[in-house]
Amino acid sequence: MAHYLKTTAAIAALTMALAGCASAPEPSSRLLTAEQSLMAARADPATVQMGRTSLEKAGVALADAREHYMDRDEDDYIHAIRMGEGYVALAKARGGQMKAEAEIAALNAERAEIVSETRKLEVARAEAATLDAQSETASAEARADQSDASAATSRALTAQAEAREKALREELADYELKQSALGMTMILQDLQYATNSAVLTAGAQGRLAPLANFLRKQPEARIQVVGHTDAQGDDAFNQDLSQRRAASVGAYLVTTGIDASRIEAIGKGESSPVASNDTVAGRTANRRVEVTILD
Amino acid sequence: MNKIFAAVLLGGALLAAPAAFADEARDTLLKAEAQIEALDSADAAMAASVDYQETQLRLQEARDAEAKGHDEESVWRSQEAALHGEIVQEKIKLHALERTVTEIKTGIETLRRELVS
Repeated sequence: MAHYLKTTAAIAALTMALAGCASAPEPSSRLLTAEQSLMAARADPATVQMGRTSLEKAGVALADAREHYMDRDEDDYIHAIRMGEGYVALAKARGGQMKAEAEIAALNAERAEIVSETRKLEVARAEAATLDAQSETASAEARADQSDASAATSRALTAQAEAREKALREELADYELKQSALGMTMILQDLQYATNSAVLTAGAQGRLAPLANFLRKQPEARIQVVGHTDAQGDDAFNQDLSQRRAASVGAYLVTTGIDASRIEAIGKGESSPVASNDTVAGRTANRRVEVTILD
Repeated sequence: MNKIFAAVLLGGALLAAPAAFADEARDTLLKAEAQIEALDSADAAMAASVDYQETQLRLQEARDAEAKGHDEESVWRSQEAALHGEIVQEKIKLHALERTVTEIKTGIETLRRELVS
């Protein structure tokens, strides 16, 4: 009898233990995961703001799921946990949309700022390019002006030279003229000196009168007077004679009021013939005085 | 007399209940089908393929249950399908927004490169 009682008590205890376990099963991992997911969603401001209703429904559904799980109502549990999981996912998707929209707004602002910077930079580059172009244009114009000025100066100088030459030719029409490297040269072959002397005759002085007039009208003009002889006689004598005759021309011009500093007189003797000394005509051509208007 | 009248009413209600539940199952299924048909299948497959498959699966289960006369199960599966359909719809929107974010970021990178070049 005692053994029977012990056995009955043991069976009863085991039954009660089993019954206790059966009435409070451990929640499934799926349920725990869904509940944790719900908690995380409730901690996210964007998800709460955009999915408040869905989170509330998820809370109700997961509470039902827990209850059905504990009651071992499998069909009810499955439906409830599916709905709970679904509402959490729905809330998270809407929260994600809000975050994405906020990011888009921030990015659009950033892009607008960059576009603004880009435009400012483009304007600055365009202005710099314009300044460069203007500077280049100014330089080109300056060069053109300079060129024009040079050309004008050149033209003026040419005109001046032409005018001077014209004036020379008009003023000195009485003389034989030629253009030399030093300037316009008058060749006076008909100056009369006393024989073997450098004294100008009265006729020769008259012959020099136009030159004296010219030099008075052109106070800036300077002249070089060069005396030449033919080859007859001693070289040294001829050299001295040509020098004295040139000096004689200069001295005469000084007596007419021309400053001596404007006159250079040199003698070349028989060293620069313009014709043969073997003939009378050649020797006549070689005996000459040349007066050059120095440029 | 009153007892007889009450009995008749109760009997009528008991007879009408299954028919009403069947109507609810049918309505819920039709709404879920309409909601899911409205989804763009290409976008759904790209943005939420798992949820879209889940939607199709639950909808088929709802149809099967409805065909067997398991009205309560059909309602539940229809509700689950509709909820997943809604999730798919929201994920499609989210995906479009995320794509926009990526495009703007790419544009910004391009602008920055142009700015420094």
